[in-house]
Amino acid sequence: MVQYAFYFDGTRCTGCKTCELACKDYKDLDVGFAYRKVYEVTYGDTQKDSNGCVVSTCGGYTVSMACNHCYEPACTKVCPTGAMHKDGETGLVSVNVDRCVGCGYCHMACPYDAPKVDRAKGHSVKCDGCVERVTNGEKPVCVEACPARALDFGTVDQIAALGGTQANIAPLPVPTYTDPNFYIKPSDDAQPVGSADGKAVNPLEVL
Amino acid sequence: MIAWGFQTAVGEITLVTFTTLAPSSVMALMVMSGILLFAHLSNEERMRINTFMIIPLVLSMIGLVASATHLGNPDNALYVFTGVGRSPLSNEVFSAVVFLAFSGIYWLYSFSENPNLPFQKVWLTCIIISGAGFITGIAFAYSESTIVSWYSAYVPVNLWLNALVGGPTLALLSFQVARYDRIRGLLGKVLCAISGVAIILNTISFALQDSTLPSMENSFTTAAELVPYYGVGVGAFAILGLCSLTIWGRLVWGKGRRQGIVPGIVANILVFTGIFVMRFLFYMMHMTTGVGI
Ligand code: SF4
Ligand code: SF4
Repeated sequence: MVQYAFYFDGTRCTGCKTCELACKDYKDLDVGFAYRKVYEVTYGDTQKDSNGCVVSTCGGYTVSMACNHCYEPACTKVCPTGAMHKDGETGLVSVNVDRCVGCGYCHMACPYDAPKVDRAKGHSVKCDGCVERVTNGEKPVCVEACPARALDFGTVDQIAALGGTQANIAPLPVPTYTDPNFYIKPSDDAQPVGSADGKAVNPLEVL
Repeated sequence: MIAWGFQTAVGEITLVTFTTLAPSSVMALMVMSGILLFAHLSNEERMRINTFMIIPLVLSMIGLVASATHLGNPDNALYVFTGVGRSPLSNEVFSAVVFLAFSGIYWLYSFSENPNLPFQKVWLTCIIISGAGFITGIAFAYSESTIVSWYSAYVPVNLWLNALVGGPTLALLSFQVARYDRIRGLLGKVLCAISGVAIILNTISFALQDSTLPSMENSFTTAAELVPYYGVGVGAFAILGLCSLTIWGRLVWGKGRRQGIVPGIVANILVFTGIFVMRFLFYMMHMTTGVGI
């Protein structure tokens, strides 16, 4: 079995969200739905010190993330119908809409907030890794769209060889929960998982 | 933050309703089954109790139907059974179906002209065992480690205690409607005592759970910020429960002629309102580790 993975280069991302919009366009997603989301983290303070000099501890960075097609997905474990499944050939996790009851448990359990129930459609929806493009030898649309070439996609061996580490910066959870196939090259400002400074500050946009 | 929590709970309002009604209704059916199994009953008493098992049965069904309406595509519902053993939700639904099958068939059979009592007793035992299974199924329905605010021992404990708070009071009402007068004796006192002790334990357990919420944190918020009024809800739950018990206490310990059923109904509305509030707050606190709310 091949296992595919995503790569995110935090030293290249400008936070422009072209990836997110390209995905929305390609997948024809309505308001309120995004399979790829860009999380913004900002922290720190700017003050005047006793000499009247302005000093700042501010930092900020972005993380672009979709479903991580985990090795141990929480979504497939809890899904009562087996609709949420991990493909034996590609390792991509997707929804079989002919089985899904739209209960929303996958959404409740995923620590990356990837699946969401589309009430109008009556089933859960999420990133499927652009499986039809991948089987045609192309990369997912978000990867192709990134103007800064901050994203990549490939087999987990290819992606791990790019030099990142497995999804271990804030605002993500510790990777041991689901063993995600997501590798990150962090920017200098990136904060460790669980850091008090690592809060996502754009909830209205990503939740 | 509270707005997100509110959004989750309103979105899952059918599940709030289901998990309010079902555990107590199941417990009430278990209590009634226990009486039918072990008490010396006249034929007429047995028949009336059998008949009015419909009260908790319907309430648990309303809960189940309510929870089914939140499904996006109920046509695929049968696939839910393929997840039994893997998905806690499948386990819950499976235990519900087993329990409702036992209870429903028992109830229908009780109307046959010459019901076979030994057979009924086996069936009643099955109702009690499958009822315990169903309540446990609901208690662990969301047991998944990524959902940090629900992956705690308090969640199943509270759900079981909810059943022990509301179950006896609903059983009392059902017995009252069935004109089973022995609720004004030891049985009524024992049921009041069970509900009373459960209210105290449940309040303590809720309060202890409340103290753990600030430390449950993800990259947006804490569980405490999602349910800032948890303590107020716990207080309301305790007061409503105690008001219900006061009403039952007057009925059970009171002398004189038989009372109408209105106070019993009011007592149940009070206790179920308290449980509903806590179930609403439970759904409000949903959050995963990482970035899920
Ligand atoms: S990121 Fe979420 S939806 Fe994707 S496989 Fe992992 S647990 Fe499932
Ligand atoms: S919404 Fe569909 S895919 Fe998600 S857990 Fe429920 S049945 Fe499975």
